Amino acid sequence: MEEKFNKIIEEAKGVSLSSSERQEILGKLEDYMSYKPVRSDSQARLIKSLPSSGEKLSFIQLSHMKLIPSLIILGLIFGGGTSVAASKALPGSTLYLVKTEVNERVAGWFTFGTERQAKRATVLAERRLSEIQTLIASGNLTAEAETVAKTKFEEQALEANQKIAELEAQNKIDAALEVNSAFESSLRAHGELLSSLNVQTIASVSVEMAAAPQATSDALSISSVVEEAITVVVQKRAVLETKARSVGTWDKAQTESKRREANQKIKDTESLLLRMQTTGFETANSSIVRLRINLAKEALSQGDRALLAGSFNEAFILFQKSLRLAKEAYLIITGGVDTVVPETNPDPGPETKVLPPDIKPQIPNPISDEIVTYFSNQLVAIKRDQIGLPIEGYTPDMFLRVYPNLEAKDFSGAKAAQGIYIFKDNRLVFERDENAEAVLAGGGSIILAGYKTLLINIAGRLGSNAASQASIDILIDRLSQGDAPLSEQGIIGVATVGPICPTVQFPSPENCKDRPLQTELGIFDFEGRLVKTFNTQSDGTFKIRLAPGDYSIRELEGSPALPRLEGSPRISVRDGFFTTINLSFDSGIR
Amino acid sequence: MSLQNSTEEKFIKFYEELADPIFRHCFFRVSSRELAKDIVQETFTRVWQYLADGKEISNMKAFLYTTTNNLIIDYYRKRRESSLETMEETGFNPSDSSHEVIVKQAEISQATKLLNELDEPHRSAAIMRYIDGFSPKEIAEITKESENVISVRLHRALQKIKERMANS
Repeated sequence: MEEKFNKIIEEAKGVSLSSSERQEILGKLEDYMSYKPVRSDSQARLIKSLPSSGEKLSFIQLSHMKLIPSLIILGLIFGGGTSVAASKALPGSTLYLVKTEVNERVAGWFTFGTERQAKRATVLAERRLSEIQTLIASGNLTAEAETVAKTKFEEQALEANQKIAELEAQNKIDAALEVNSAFESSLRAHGELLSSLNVQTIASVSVEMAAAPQATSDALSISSVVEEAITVVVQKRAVLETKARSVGTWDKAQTESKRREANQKIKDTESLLLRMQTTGFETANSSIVRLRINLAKEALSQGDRALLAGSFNEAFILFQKSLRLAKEAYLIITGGVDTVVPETNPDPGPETKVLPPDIKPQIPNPISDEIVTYFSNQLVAIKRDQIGLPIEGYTPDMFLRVYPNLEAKDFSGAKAAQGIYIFKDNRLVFERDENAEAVLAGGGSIILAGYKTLLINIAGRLGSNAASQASIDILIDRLSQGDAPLSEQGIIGVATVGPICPTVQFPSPENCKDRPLQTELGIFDFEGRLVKTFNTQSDGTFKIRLAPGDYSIRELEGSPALPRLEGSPRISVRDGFFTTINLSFDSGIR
Repeated sequence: MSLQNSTEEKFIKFYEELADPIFRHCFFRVSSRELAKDIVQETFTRVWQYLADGKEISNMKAFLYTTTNNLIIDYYRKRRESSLETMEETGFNPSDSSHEVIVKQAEISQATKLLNELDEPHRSAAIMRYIDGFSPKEIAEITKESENVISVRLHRALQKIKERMANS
C-alpha cells in the first residue's frame, strides 16, 4: 500500500505550469513590479532566502542614488503622483519627458534577460506609435510633438532591433524570431491604422478646404518612418527564418503548442471582428482584417502539412507566420491595443459621458440594488463555464465574447474599480481614474454601479423595465440569443469490440465479426486535461461537438480492464468539420 | 546597478523557483488549472506589493505559501457566500454548481481523486505534507496553527487515505 501511495504522490508531483504559462504570469508580474517599484524610503528586505540562496535582499540606498542621473532622481523624489499623471502624457506635453525618461527608464532597470528586454523595447516602440495616432486623430500633432514622437519611436525601434540581434548572436533563434514576429505584427497594424488616418484626413481636407494640410503631411511622414521600420524587421525575419530552418531544434510538442497559439489567435480575432461589426467597425479595415485572417489560416494549413511530414522546423515557422498575421489583424481591430487619453484633450464633460440618445433607457422606476446584484450574478453564473472565475473581476470583453446579443455600447458609462468605460468613436474605451494611486491589474473590472448602468442601457435598448428577477432572466436570455450561428465541428465515428470468437477464422463467420460497443470515454487535450466525457450509443456510434484543436481519446480512470481501447487515438478537429474516427476495443478473447 | 535592482532580481528568482510548486499546491486545492494559475499570479503580485510598501518578510517561502493559503480560503469563502445567495434567490440546484464545472475541467488522476475525497482541513494538510513536502512544523507556520493540531490532522488524513485505498 505504501508503495502504491508513493507512486500516486510521485505522479502528482508531475503537475506543473507549461513554459508559456510561466512566462505569461511572469510578464504580468514584471509589469506590476514596474508600476509599483520598491519605494526609495522603504525598509523592505528579504532576510531569509531559499535553501539554495541564503543571501539577504536589501533595499535601495541613498549612496547608490548618486549614480543615477539627476533627472531620474527628481522623478523618484516626486513620487507616485507625478509618475502616474505622466503615464498618460503625450508628445509635446511637459510631462512626456517624465514618462519616457523616468517612468519607462526606471521600469526598464527591472527587466532582466535579453529576451524580456527585447520585448520591452518593442512594447515601448508600439506605445510611441499609439501616442502619435492619438495626436493625429485628435488634430493635436504639432510640428514639435511630431519631431519628439518620431525621434522617440526611432530610438525604441532601434533598441528593439539591437536586442533582437543580441538574441540572434546568443543563438536564441526561437526567441529572436518570436520577438521579431510580434514586433512586425504590431508595426504592420499601426502602419494600416496610420494609412487609414491619412485617408480620413485627406478626405476631410477635400471636403473642408480650411482643414489643416499639416495634419496630412504629419500622418504621411510618420507612415514613412513606420514603413522603414517594417522593412528592417521583415529583412531580419528572412534572416532568422533561414537560420531557424537549418539550426532550429523544435520538437513535435513545441510545434503543436505554437499551432494551438496561432489557432487560438485566429479564433479570438474572428470572434472580435464579429463583435466589432455590430458596433460599426470600419468597412475598409474589416476587409483588411479578413484578408489577414485568411492568410493566417492558409499558413496554418501549410504548417499542418509540414507537421504531418515531420518537418517540425518548417511547421514551426509557418505556425509563427500564422500567429503573426492573426495578431496583426487583431491589433488592427483594437487600434493597437492602448486607449491613450490625450492630455491636451479637455475633460469631455458630462455630455459625452451620458448615454447616446438612441440607447437612452426608459425605465419607469429606479432599479434596486438587489435587482442589480441579481443581474450581475446571473450574467456571470449562466456563462461561468465560458468566462471562468477571474480573481481580478469581470471586464466588458469577457461578456461581449459570450453573449451574442450584447453590444459594446451597452457598457457606455459603466464604472469600474479604477475608472469608467465610455463608448466613443464607435468603440469602447476605458478611461482610467486619474486619482488612482496605483494601476492595478483588476482596475478595469466592473463594479456594482457599473452593472447598474449596464442593466439600464440593456433594458433601454431591448425595451424591458427590469423590475423583477423574472424580467432579468428574460433579458439575459435575449442577450444569449444571437443571430450569429457558430460553425459546428467535432468528431464522429463508431466504437467496436473484437475478437468475439476465441480462435481466429478466415473468413470470419458472421457471428464472430466485431460488435458495436456502448461505453464511456474521455476526450483529452494535448496537455492531458480532460475536456469532455461521452457515451457511445448502443449501436456504437457517437457524434461529439468540440472546439477546433488537437485531442486524444482515452478511457477514464476506473474503467474496467476489458474491453480495452487500442492505443490512445489522436484526432485533429478543424473548424466546420466533423472528423471521423473509429474506435477499436480489444475484448481480451484469444 | 543599484541594490534595488538586486531585490527585484531575487524576487524573480523566487518566482522561478517556486511558481511551479505553488501552482501544484493550488491545483490540488482548487481542482482547476485556470484558477490555480490565477492564484499563483495573485500570490506573487500581493507579496510584491507587501515588499514594495516597505514591509519586512523573514521567510519568503513560508510567506508565499501563507498568502496562497489565504487566497484559497478567501476563494472558497466567497464561493460559499455566492452559492448561499443563489440558493436564497433561485432555490438549490445541485446539478448546476460551479464546483461541478471546476471538477469536470480538472485533470483526473489518482492523486486528485484521492485528495478530493478528503475534507478540509485534512486535505490542505495532506497536500502540504505529501505534495509540497513541508514538515508539520512548517505547515503549522504557514497555516498559523499549532504543530500538535497539524500532526493530528495529518494522522487523520493518512488514515482516510489508507481506508480509501483499501476499498478501491
